[in-house]
Amino acid sequence: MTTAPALGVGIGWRPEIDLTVERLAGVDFVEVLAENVAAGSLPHSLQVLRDRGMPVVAHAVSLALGGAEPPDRSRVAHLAAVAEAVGAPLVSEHVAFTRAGGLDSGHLLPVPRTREALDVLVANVREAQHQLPAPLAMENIAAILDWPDADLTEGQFLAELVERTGCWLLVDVANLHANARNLGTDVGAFLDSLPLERLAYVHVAGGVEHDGVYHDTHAQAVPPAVLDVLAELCARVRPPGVLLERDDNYPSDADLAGELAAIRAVLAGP
Amino acid sequence: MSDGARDTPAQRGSEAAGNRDTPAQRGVSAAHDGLDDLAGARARLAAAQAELAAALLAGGPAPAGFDERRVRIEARALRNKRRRVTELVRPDLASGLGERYAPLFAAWAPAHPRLVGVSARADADAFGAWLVEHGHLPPPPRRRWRRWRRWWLRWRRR
Repeated sequence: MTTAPALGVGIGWRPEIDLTVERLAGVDFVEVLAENVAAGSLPHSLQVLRDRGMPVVAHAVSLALGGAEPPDRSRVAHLAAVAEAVGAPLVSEHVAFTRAGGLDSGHLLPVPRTREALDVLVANVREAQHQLPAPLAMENIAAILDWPDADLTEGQFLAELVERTGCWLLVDVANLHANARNLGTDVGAFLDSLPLERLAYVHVAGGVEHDGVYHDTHAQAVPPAVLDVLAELCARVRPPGVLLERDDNYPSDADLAGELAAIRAVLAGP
Repeated sequence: MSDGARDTPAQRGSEAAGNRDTPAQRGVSAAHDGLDDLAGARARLAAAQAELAAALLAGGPAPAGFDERRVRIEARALRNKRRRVTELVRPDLASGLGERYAPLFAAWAPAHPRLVGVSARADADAFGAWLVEHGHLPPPPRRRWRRWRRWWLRWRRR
């Protein structure tokens, strides 16, 4: 496979909006959070979507592939089982860690961008890939703080990860916007340094700014600035898929349909 | 949402002890320089990430080289997320405390960071038990029902 299969425009399936996702027009694919479902008893709504032939991507948040430990085999096995159960064309995880020193952060934390941390990440991604039944895409996260003494920019770090593991890219344009606002990441330089021919799909989400810090909450409407980053990406490559993530403070069906339409408008070009 | 319920005590122990390799891993490492390098890289990464995690989750000092203000903001963001998750699984705590909920959570959280292997539900229950223990909330009403039911069963037998 030289390019990723076309997925279209999608939305993150969540139990709170299961019926909304089923009846929204213009949903080409969905994504399920693997940690929130059991492979042996999938939610009925997901089964309905599967029966319609809708692609379901399995997305994970707890493998901590950027952590110091080799991946927990039982967590990878769970993701693999969910991916099998939904017939996922892709699975995805983040370049992040969530556990260290016996503590669980409950949220994705950034990895130091050193050569050494990259070696560990590469080893962990390879180990996970061996156990997974579908191609793995790795996602950039939103960070509020940065590690000192980086050897590589975030774009270079991801590019080397792709080159050394053969993984695919999940570019989260909301996270990229957050890092541009919070850490001064250069959006254009970031996108230029990525091997965009390895782009599998894109995440889009809303957030909110407090005291000059952008928080990627997935609980507000997608701000225009995030759609601008999507447009910058689309000026370089046609994304095989773009998925809207909403995790809290769920709006009406009409509002979600409007957000999907706004994404389609960006994809259609200026 | 990350849910650590699947971790075993053995894994918790090894993470808490700073990522010690198993004897098997040490054996393989000795045979291959590359893997030996990787084991060293894992150990150094474990120490660095543990120091940052302690600063963000357990009120520890910001590690050298980090922007202290950013560490504080990230710590608050993580605590707020944990508080929202706690409210999802134990809405009774937030409704019982009202405006005292957020400050009490902020007081409790850094002294009781969530450990690897503790589920979100168990984490919320631990906060609930602490609130009762320190007199911020009355014991759960279920206990009173139980006591009442025991009384009723005895009464019925008479």
